[in-house]
Amino acid sequence: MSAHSQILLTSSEGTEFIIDRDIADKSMLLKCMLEDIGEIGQAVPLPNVSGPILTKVIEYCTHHRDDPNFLSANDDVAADIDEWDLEYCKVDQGTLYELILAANYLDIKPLMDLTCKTVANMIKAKSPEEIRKTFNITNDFTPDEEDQDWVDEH
Amino acid sequence: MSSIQEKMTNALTCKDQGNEAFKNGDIKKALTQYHLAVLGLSGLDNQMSGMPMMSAMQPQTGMATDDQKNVIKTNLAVVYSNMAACHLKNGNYKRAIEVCDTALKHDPTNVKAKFRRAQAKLAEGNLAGAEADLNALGEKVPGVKAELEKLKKKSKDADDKQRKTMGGFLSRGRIISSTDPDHEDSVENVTSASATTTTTSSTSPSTPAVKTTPKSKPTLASKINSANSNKKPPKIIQEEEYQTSSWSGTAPKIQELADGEE
Repeated sequence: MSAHSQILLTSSEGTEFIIDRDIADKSMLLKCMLEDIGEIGQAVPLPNVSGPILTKVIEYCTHHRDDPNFLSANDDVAADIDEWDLEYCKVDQGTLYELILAANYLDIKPLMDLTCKTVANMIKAKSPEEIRKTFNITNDFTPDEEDQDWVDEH
Repeated sequence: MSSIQEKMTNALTCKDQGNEAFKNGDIKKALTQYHLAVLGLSGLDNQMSGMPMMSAMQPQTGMATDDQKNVIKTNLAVVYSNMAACHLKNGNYKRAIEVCDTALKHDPTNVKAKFRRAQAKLAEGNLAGAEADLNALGEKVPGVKAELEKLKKKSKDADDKQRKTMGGFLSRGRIISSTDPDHEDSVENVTSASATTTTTSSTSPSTPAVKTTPKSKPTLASKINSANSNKKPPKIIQEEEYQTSSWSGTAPKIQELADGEE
């Protein structure tokens, strides 16, 4: 249980990742497990995260490994995203969504907040048509609904 | 890339192996298997897959059907609840309560999770919390009655202990009530009792604590004891009502609890 112990993870395709214990502890799912059973004595299978996504997640946890405010890092919704995080989130939409899923699965709250904030920023200050285009959503309004002045409804 | 169905089957195998280990008394192995089951099950049912843009994003695995989602949720609750049984065995009550909370998040109708949470709270000394959970379950659920008995005994013990340590203080406060029984429940009397202890005890030094009437006890004692008393604070009553209302599946689950699916 020493701080230097290492954990072996396997992604959904079976790719193996060796990470330090303190990196694994960023994931509440893994932390609780490691606290409960100590050294598992085998690889920890993560059947619901793919290798490329796990690589990204580990990159995030490693960058923030010594962050003292890690758990409350993205609590402030209005705060600007820091530069490294901003750069980190410059990925295609598919990757971004898979990152959200992985953050949710592994229970890494700051990563969850960061990725969700990034999606929110993609919506912010866009017209409905632009949002539809961004997220590839078909317009299912009837022309009548479309004509309504939605803003005045409130 | 295995399908959702395959992943579920794998995870449920882990769960069964955990149950087997638990029955054999190998708690550590059971916990390991339950954790492996959680690793396999959670994330399969995530709610975000309901978002229109998400559905296009999961080409490899496809999406879980509603039926599958229900099976996943129910089983996650069972696995977490079984983890709680392991933690109870290990005397790790804090973690037991945590995993019960998680179990109930996935399936609020899981009887065993609530029952084990009550056991853990009771063991931890959170009598009011334990009572709220047990009352939400109802006495018809096997084992609840026994736990309520334990709870009563524990709260009585705690009261007795407190009475012993507080005895001197309380009896001094009560002297005024016993000498002036007409006003024993008035607020003024309580304050004056504690404020003028010296005067009263000097005016009636012969009045021993034994003489005090039980009627006069609640005034001071209930204030001091409120944390451990049988009366629940209003907050907890609310929680209990909420849980009772969201709780509708007592009857069919009772048998399950008795059979055990550890």
